[in-house]
Amino acid sequence: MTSELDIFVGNTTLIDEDVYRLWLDGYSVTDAVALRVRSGILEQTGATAAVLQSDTMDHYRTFHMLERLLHAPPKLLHQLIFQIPPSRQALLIERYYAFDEAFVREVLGKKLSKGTKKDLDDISTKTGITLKSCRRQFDNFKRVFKVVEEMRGSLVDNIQQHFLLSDRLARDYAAIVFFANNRFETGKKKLQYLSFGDFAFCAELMIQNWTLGADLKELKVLVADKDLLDLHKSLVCTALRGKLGVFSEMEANFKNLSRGLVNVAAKLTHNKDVRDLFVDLVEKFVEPCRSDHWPLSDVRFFLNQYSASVHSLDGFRHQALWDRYMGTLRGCLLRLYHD
Amino acid sequence: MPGKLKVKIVAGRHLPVMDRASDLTDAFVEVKFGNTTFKTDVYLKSLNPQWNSEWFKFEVDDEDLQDEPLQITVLDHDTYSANDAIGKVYIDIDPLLYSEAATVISGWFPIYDTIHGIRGEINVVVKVDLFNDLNRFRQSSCGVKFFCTTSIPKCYRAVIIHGFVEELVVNEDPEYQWIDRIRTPRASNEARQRLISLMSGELQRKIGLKVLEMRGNAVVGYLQCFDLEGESGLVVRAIGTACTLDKLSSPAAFLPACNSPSKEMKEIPFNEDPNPNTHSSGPSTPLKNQTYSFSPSKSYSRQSSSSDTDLSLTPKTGMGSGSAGKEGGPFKALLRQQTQSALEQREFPFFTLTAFPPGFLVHVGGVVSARSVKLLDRIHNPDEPETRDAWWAEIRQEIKSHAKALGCHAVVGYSESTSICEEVCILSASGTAAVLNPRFLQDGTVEGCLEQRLEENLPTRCGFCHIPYDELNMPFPAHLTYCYNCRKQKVPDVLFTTIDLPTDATVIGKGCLIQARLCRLKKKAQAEANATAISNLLPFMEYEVHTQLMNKLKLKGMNALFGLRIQITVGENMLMGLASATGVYLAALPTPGGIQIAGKTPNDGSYEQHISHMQKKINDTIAKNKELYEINPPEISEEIIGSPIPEPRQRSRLLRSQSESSDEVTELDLSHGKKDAFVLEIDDTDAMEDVHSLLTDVPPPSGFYSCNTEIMPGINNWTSEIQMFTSVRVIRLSSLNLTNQALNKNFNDLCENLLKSLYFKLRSMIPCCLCHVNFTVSLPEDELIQVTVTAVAITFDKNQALQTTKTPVERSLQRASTDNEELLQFPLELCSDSLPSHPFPPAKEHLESASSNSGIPAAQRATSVDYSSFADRCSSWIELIKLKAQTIRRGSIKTTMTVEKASPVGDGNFRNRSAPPCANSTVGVVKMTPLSFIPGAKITKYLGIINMFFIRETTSLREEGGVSGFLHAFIAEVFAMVRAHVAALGGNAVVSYIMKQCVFMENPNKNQAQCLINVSGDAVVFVRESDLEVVSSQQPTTNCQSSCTEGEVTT
Repeated sequence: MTSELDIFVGNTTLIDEDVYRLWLDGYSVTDAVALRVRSGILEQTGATAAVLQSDTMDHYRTFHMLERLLHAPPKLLHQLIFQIPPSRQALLIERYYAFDEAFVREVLGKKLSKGTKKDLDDISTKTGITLKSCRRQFDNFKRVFKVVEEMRGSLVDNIQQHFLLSDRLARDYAAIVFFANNRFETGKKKLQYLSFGDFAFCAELMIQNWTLGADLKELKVLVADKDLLDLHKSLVCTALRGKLGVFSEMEANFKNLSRGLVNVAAKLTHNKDVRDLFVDLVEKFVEPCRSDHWPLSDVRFFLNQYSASVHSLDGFRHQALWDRYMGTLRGCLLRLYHD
Repeated sequence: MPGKLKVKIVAGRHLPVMDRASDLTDAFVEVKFGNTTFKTDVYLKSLNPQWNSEWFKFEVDDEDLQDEPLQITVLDHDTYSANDAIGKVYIDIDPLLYSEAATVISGWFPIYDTIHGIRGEINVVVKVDLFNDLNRFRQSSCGVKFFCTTSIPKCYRAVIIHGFVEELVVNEDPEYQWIDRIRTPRASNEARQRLISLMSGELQRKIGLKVLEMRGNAVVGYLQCFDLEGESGLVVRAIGTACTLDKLSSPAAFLPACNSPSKEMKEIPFNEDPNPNTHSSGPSTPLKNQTYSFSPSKSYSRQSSSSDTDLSLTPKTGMGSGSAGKEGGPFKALLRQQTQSALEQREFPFFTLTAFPPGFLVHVGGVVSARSVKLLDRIHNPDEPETRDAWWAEIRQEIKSHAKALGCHAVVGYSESTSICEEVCILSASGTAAVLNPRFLQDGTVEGCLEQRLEENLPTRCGFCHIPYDELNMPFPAHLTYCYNCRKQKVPDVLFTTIDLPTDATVIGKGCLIQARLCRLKKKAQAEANATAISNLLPFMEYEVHTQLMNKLKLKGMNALFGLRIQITVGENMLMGLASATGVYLAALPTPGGIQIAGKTPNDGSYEQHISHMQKKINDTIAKNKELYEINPPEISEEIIGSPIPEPRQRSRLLRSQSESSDEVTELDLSHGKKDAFVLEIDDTDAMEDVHSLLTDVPPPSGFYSCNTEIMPGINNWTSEIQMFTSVRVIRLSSLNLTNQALNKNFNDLCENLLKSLYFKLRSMIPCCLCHVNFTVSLPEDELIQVTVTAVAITFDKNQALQTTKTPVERSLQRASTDNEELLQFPLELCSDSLPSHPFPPAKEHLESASSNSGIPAAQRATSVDYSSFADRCSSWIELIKLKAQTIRRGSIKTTMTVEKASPVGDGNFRNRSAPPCANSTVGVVKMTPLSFIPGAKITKYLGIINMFFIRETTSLREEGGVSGFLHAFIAEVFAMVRAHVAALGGNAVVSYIMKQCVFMENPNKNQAQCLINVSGDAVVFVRESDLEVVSSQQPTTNCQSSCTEGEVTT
């Protein structure tokens, strides 16, 4: 006796959160059944493995049918085929667009193209995330990217409007889109210690405060003009003397650090060099400070003073530009400065 | 020109991409009604076109309005080639044709294509302007309301219940026409869908005409079915109960037409012998009519003619034009005389209702059923309905005589069904023989009714259990005792019925779903040989199904079955029997005895041990079930009740022999004290298997209950969460050495596993009850068994004290506030004055049909009934009636807004509502339920009947996820289309929803599958009781005012 056909259709579509998670994680029906058995559900409910198999199949089929609608979440709200309470709709969408930290770290800043898709195999092997799940996550990134790419207005708002995501998730997607668009390098070994959260934090600051076309080259004078650089250094040192645990290290390194920070600004004007932003920040600032064992509080003191002292440099005329640049950069650096 | 249909096409959305190059669609819409077609402009390059068309106006006959569906086709414009169809929407405009229902149909409808399924949605507005001309020579029956609900709809009052209406229409099936060879599957499917839609409309119109002819204004318990006969045609048939209903909100209770039974007289022909006893020799085996000769005995079938020319020849005045006042006194005597014998005069005193007002049902005799095997290829004139009419008339006649044999003049809970395999067709009918209140109403006036009811013995809660037949001349051997409730009348030991448990019945403990399942192999054969083989198998199947039911009932420690439905399905090489019912313990009936196992070879020691082991297991199961279902009737000594009526002791055996065996008198004295045990004799391995299978039925997990009736006996504190579902399973049998045992086991496992799956899936709703569990079995192919289940899961509050803790007075008062107006004043227009005591044919003949009559004897045990509480109930009841009579005499005003059951727990924990509203969700929730009510809510309006038929076909089965993916999607789409139609009518729920057909065919080799689904129900508007409370604080005042003014007028 074999079941040829076995279906259950409710007037209100039944959604089992646990099975949904297994489906999203890309498990086959067989694996999902095995995992459910292991969770002890049979003992709790007195069901048989056959019942579990049938139930899992049903849910998988439902999710498969829903997937098409989940690709354009507003459709899920307006469609008539599945009667799903609004709270459940929200849950379906949110979970579908959720992604794994390990996965996003692998593709962040990469071009969301077919070429990358071939690498999904490797990512799957490396992260232990099923290929199916990798595909879904990658396709989500790509879909959101394509929809909002050409749109005007706030990135987060656009994403929220077209994908009905929660504020938190929409911000994350904004970061992913921003990274993909600017193709920031995030995969280098020295950047491995950074989490997606770190990058997303920086992305948000940059999206909010930075605009294209600002002439950041103007800032270069701060390191190119030797007098200005010396003056800047003495201002900072005077202000921080006795307040910084790593004062001598700072004093010794000031010119290197300042050069690093100002050069990053100059590089931002070249599209090709933008990609190296995070590499530069880590190489030119985070690593030198870390090797001298600066505590985070000292980094904060230093950056504040470094940023503020420029106001006292009479020869420097780009105060507003500097504030905008450093305000964001300071935020990013403080976030990036950890082990 | 009595009607103007107006249609406006507003917009479309989510259309499929029809032009690959642009990824867009150039859509336009064709609107067709009858032979008139309008078109909208082409809306270029959009998947969300905004047509915003003008009003398309169709000037049509009301006859066409009833028959024709509005057909909306969405197409993609193509300059160089033929326009591609995107899909269609059929809209039944019937709900717009009666005044109380919907006034406009407006909303988003899924665009449906039989090959691709739902492809986007279209927003349509439909209105009808009707011009009434009542004196017209009527072909149409606009204005007659139809209800699928098998009880008096909640916001109506039955003024008169006229009785049985039926109709049948036949057409050639488009799938079998020659043209089908050259047209596309899509065209063929659409032709079929359209034809069935047309035929349903026609059928409904014709039934409506009959209702008008009977002076009714509504059909309740309307059941329409399709028979896909194949080559010989496509049959659409319907049965229902004609009624005169009165909307409760309107105080005008006395419609002249309604309470003028004198009119009725003219209707009832002074009968030229309504029951020619041509072939009836009492209720013998249902297989009597294995007639392949087609007896043209249509003579007695006045109503079964479907040509209807006879009806149309006598012009009728419109309804509501009766004149009651004029025909007064002199008519009364004649009238009384008339009503006395009216039920007998009536051709078929059948009622498709399953629930009745208290007191209406006097006695219940038992289940009556009849089956007949017919050959479809022998129909002489397949395009005409006459042959099928004659078949059904024959069966109904048999049902009627069965009922008579049980001392009953009516059949309630009546239904008909067919099973077709190739050219063989099994026709089945079943119902519950009953005596209806003979003096309930003679005048048809409300006052009369109540006065009479006060005079006569008040209907007791046990009354329906009392035997209607003559105890000295019983139609079948039954074990009678004095009623355990009133101690005055005799009751049988076991009662089987097809109706719902009467609301006033006293039940001990909870009920449960009981199923009997059975398969029988049969040789493949042709034509008459096949029909003979089937006919020969049927009695054994009926007998065994019955025995199984009885055994399982005993095992549950219960004594009555309600909602019994026995389905016999015919396949190429087997017959399947599936009986479902809800078992309960009726307080009025004796306690069932246990099950006693008897071995054949008593000398074998190990065998004996085995037997005793089994006996122990059975006893344990009974004890466990009693605990599970909370069956603990109070014990009482037997003297109080009196000794049982002496009767030959009966035994029923699990023995594969002829059905007559039930007739044998047992020689075994089991010396079980005074109590008779139900004996299972294990005389072969089969019987052993059966005992085993008895014990394999697993009870539902804790927190779950199930029943196949409207309400679960013993549970009444429902909360508002409901989940209706359909589940379908098909299994393939391994064709190797199939035996009956293996087959039975497979079938049993299939059903049990299906139930287990349901319990598992719905576990989040615990505590909950599966209500109206409806199983249907079909045999789509040689080795395939298909089981389809539709039911609703309803949550209930375990902690909230049961309503039974209320005092009887409270209970009665509560009922008074709700049911009374709706139900008490309930004239049955045709009653006989005295209980008919028909001469019974010799008992032997009845015994043959143990399966068609119920009430196989069993053991009994004494139980006690609390007299005092009963007296309380009675007195409060009297007070209530008096009270009621007074109010009604004064002004006949009803306060309809009384809340049925205030549930403080209600909505708070209801997920749908407690959820934070998601951003601009525009789709309103539409509930669906097979029940006639929605827990925690009040139905305020019936919008019309939903009756939809869909075909879905695919030539890419694998791509659509195989058979499961295909059917899953289709059923989801059907639900969606039902919901969309209800929402467009302005409703928020479908009640009495039923999936009448789900015919699934596959051809995996060709990667093809096809499925036909037919669903129906009543579209309604409901209001949550919690919301109502706010409104009702204002409502009673207005009611009160009107009552006062009315009172002034009358005094």
